[in-house]
Amino acid sequence: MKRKRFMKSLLAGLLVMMMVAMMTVVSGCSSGNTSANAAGTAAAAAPEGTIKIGASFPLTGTVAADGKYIVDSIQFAVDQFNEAGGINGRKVEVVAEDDEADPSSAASIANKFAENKDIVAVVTSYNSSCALAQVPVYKQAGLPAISPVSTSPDLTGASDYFFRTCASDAYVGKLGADYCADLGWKKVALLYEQDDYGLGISKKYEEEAKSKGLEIAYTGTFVYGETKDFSTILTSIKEAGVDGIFICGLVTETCLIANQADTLGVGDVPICGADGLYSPALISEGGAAVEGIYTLGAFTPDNQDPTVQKFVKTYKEKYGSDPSNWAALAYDATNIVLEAMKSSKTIDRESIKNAIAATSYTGVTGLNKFVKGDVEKEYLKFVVKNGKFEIYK
Amino acid sequence: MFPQQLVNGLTVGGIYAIVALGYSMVYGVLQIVNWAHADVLMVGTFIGLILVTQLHMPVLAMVILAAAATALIGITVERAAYRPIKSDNRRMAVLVSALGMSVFLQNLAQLVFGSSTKPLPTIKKIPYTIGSVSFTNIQIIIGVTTILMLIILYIVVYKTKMGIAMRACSVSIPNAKLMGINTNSIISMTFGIGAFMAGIAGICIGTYYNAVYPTMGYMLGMKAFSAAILGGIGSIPGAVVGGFLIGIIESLGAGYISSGYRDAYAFIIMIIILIIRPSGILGAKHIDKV
Repeated sequence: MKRKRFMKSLLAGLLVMMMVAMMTVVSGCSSGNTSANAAGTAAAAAPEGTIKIGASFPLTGTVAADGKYIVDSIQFAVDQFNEAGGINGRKVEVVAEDDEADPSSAASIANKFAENKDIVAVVTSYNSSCALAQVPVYKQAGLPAISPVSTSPDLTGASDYFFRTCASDAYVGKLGADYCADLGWKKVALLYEQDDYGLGISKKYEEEAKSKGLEIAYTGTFVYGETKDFSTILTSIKEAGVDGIFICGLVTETCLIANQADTLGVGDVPICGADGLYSPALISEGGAAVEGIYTLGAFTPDNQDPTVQKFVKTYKEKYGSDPSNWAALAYDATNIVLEAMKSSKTIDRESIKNAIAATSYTGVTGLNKFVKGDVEKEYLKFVVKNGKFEIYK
Repeated sequence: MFPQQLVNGLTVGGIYAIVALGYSMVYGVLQIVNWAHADVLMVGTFIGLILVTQLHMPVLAMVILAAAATALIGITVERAAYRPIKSDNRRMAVLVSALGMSVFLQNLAQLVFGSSTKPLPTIKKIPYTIGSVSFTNIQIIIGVTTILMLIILYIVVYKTKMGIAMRACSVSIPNAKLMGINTNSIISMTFGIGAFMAGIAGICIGTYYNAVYPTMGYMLGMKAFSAAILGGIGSIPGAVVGGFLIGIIESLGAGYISSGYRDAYAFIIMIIILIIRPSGILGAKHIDKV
């Protein structure tokens, strides 16, 4: 009996150990493959004189895939810079951390970066909530940060040390209303994600729609990553009888909406969406259902500009696919930091910040010139045609 | 609009009912909450996804095979995480172990399958319209599958010897043991049946939304668990009533009041009903001594 119990606890112990081991593998892999450099930071294996850039993006969780290609794109820009000689032979290194799309993790990463004196600038945050949690820390540490993706209007002028290469949601909301009016819509249904992103766009959209004489006949909300059933919302939209649906949300939800719209007899109602939809994932996840969706974006690989074509070609050689909108914005953000390092006399946080603030950099996503840390660049209008994003009109 | 919202609600309600049964049956027999249930469902759905996209299996064979695999996973979870520690009636320890199992399965799925949402291409969607109500062949299949599973479960639990043994276990495990019932195998069967149905429910919901992802069990599990509580946990008809009720309430609430509180309606109604009837709509009226 005693022996049996011993065996039992031994077995239980083994199982627990196995689970712990597997968990370690899980976390080990996810931080391991995203950045080989991240592992090396603690070991102080970095060569003398290496300049470090922090990167804080979600590398695990539901948006891990996006976080990964953004970090890839940052690394890509840095690699090119290093190959071209770096800064007087000094190499730049990316320190990537996983913020799990969670503001509290993001804040602790910001503290970590702030304390690491080798880090002179940060490219940060997928989620605006994470960026908002980090901004005060960077401000206090005097550490310049630039975001390719955090689009919340709350970040406009949030700090002298925060910049971004993507447009604010408020600006996108305005562009969205313009687009809908251009499409000849009179009555729209407005669907927004119940968070900073969705609210930021929809608030401005509502304002702008009013001034354009666009009637919002139905307003519905959903929860990012959780709402899967849009049948109730779509039933109400059918009742309202609209010319089109404007979605302030992201790819997964839009695909669900487009898919379910067909079954509820609203499949013919056109859908227009904010820049969050402009991702190859929209087409790979949505398939035929997303055909005809209108959206906005800062970047297209079809742009014949030589800088863009060079970027697309080299990126494709390395990663096997066209760079996405966010990847391009991350590439620009990183290059702005690198150029700022080059142009400032000394490599320290303060002079890099000043150099970024004064920059006027034309990258693959257009002109980046910061006013209150924001850019107001030309956005392109797209429509999904034959499984491809095509420029509208 | 009302009939359409009702149809929408009934479709998800059926799924909630099937998943709720898994929670309720395990609770009935062991008085523990199997938190990993919805994650077992998720793993089962991924198995279905692999069978259909990688091995190109016909849909019916895929559903049965995936559900069988899910049942095995359910049984394994009980063997690995619950049985070794439940010997001295340490329910709290089992509860924590169940939560751990849930986190473990979710992370494992993210590692193996990635965190992105994947489409589940099983059957081609054909829309129909009767009057003002639109629905698809998928919804019909989900409805028929739900009813079929409920009938089979009823027969198993109330008409077979194993069902009698199962019900005996839910009254008292020590007494069932004295009657010569192999309680361990009955417990395994309970987990297996619950997980088998969850596997089918997972494939249904994955097909309905055309989306499979590692965290798909979370909200589904919450709703289904609430459905089980609402109907009276431990009671099989209770879980069914609770599931349909939650599905319909949230559809009507989202349709007529505001879509923003969609997930809240079900929980509000659950709280109200529990205040009036603490043991749930069809729950047994006995008081647990604490």
